[in-house]
Amino acid sequence: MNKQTRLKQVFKANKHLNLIDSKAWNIVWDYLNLDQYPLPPSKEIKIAFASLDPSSVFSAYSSAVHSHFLKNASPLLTHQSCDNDVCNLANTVNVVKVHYVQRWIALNGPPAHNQKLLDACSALIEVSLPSEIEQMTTDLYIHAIEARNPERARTVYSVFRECGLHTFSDSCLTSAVKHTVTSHVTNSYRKTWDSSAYDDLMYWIFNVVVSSLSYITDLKESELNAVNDLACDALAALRIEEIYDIVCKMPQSEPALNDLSATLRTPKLRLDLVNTFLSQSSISLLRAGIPTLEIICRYIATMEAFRRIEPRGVLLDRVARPIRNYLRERSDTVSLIVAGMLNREDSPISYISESIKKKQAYRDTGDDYNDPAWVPDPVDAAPDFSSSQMDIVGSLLNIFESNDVFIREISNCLASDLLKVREYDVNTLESQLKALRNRFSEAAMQSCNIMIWDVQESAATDAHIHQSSDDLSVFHSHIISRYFWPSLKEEPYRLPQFIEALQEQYGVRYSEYKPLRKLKWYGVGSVAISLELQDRTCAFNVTPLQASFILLFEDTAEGMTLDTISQKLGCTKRVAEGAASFWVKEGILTQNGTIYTVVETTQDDSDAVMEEDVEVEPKDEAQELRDSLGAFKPFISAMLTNLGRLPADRIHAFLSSLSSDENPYRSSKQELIKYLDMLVEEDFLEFDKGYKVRK
Amino acid sequence: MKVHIENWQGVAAWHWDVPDEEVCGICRANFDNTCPGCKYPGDGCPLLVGTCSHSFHEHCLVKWVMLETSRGLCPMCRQPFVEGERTRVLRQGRDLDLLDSDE
Repeated sequence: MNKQTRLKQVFKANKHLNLIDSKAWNIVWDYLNLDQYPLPPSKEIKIAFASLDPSSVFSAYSSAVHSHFLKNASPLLTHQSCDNDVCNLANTVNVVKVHYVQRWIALNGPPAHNQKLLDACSALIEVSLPSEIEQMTTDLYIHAIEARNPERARTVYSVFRECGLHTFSDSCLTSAVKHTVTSHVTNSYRKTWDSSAYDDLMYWIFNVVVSSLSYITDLKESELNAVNDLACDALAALRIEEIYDIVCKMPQSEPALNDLSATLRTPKLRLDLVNTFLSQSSISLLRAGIPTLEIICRYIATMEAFRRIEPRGVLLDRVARPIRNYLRERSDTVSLIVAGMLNREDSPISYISESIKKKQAYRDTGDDYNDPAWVPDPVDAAPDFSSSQMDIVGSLLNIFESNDVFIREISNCLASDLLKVREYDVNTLESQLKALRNRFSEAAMQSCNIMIWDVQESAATDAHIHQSSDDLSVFHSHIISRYFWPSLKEEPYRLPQFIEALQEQYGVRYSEYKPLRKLKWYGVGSVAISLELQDRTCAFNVTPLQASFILLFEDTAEGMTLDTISQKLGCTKRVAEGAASFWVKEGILTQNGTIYTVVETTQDDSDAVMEEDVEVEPKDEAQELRDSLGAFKPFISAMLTNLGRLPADRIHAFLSSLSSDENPYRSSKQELIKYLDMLVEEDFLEFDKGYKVRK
Repeated sequence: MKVHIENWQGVAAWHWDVPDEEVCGICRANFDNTCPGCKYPGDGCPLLVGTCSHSFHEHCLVKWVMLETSRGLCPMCRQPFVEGERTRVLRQGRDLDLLDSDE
């Protein structure tokens, strides 16, 4: 195409048409011809350029660059990228840039124009780059960081930077770092809670990421910090996701908690932690099927864990509330906690009795206005957050708003224990109670103190009464101050006559010893008894009711029906049955239909066969039910413990909804009812307008 | 079968031999309970029955009699308060001088 006409075309809309013919213009324009390879300008060209208006030449040149780029360079770049090699592409980009920019810069025009041209070029290159280039560059960087082989990445990074593509390049590098760190954190530290991931991560960041990065680019202090923060956030996010399992794995998972406390930098992360724990615990923990004891154990673990994450307890306060509220609704919470505090052997949380010995204020005392180290509560603290440092027992007691429920339970436990002690030995119980004094006010413990005192006084009184006469033989008594003891539950029944006589005599002696006072007898207590049978002698510690029951069978080989027994004992059939089942269980009595007889000799074979024959029929059905429904007994038990009394309909519906492939529920409602009645017979459940677990 | 009882540990509650619904005329607490200032009931906080048949916790009555305004009268019937024979045994020689000398 003729140069003249082309220029005319280019400048069709341009005001500088008068320049077209100028010789200087022609010389410069020849030099700037984009179809040529760029060469350094000769002196003549420079002089020609100096004589022209640089702005006009620049605007003409940039238009030419624009159209030439779209026509030639743009397809080239797009084509290049298909080869999937960022390095080649970077080289091409470099060549393109040099091609358009170098000849202009060599003319030594105003620096503002150079910059403008560079920016325009970068913009053109950036829009011409294909969409997948970003991913490819990121991958290249990722590879460079991970494999500690940053050579190529460094070249690419510097090329892009020189071509004015630093925004693009930096964003690729940032996402590469993000990706590397996140995947390293998840791959290396997921579910490994027994060693500190934080230290390891920091070591890795410094030795791998930072060293690679500083080879690729010059890291500024702020960028270094940003990388560290990124790593912290990634670790925090991972641990937050795992928080519930970490808490469950206490104390093995302590290092993971330390990780959290080191990385939990922002209010956002704290909020995430709280919300995640709340939702996870409400899914896995606060459900009707979970035993109360397990929830208490988790509650303790939660407290220990969150104290470790944040000693101030603001987070703990927020996560513990729902668990506390839930525990408050369970009826057996108090008794389980008290069993733990009293260090009962069968209580799995008896270890809390250790921490009870440490002195602690029993209720929060509020802010200390004289504390020079006082700091305000964090912003995310609840309005009624109290910063008092509570230990395990303190926070267990804190489940309920007042200590009264615990005091009541403690005195109930203490009462039943005290009435069982022999020889009036209260030392163990007294030392247990002493520990509790650290937690409860003296006034609250007053009735417990009196109960102990009563038993000690009883010892003295009993000794005195026995001293004055020895016809009371084996009879002793606890003498209690009724206003300070929990009301003793008892069913009315008649004691054997000789015991009643002894009681009366004891009462008379007592009134002689303590003038103006009388005794009122209860049917509780404990009896040490030994049974002499034909082939064996057995010793038992039983209740007075059980003793009275077995005394009916003394010196008689005849059986008795429950009706006769309850009549003789003057009690209800249910009470008599309770005592009977104890002796049957101990193998002293045997039940044949409704008749109880003494097992004088341990059964010989013929008897056993006979009995089996009799019971074949019902046993089969019972066994069948046990086979088909036995698997559901834990569900039934949990359901009735946590939901209280339920009719068979509800239980049936509940079990049907539980039915799964590996654990199918196919029984009919009638079968279920039979099975439940069986459990009632076994004294596992009780029935009264619905089934309930017998305590 | 022979049954041997080795040890029978019964449980009884003591109570003052006064009508059950009767309470101390001063502190209105049951006699089997303590007066407000006492910790331990029974021997620790005995009762006192006057010849006028009104009964009180010993501590409650002594506090009352110490007051100038009481003039040694029973707070219930305003007769001079004299301890009856029944409760005198509780003192076991430990006389309540206050009450006797007042007369």
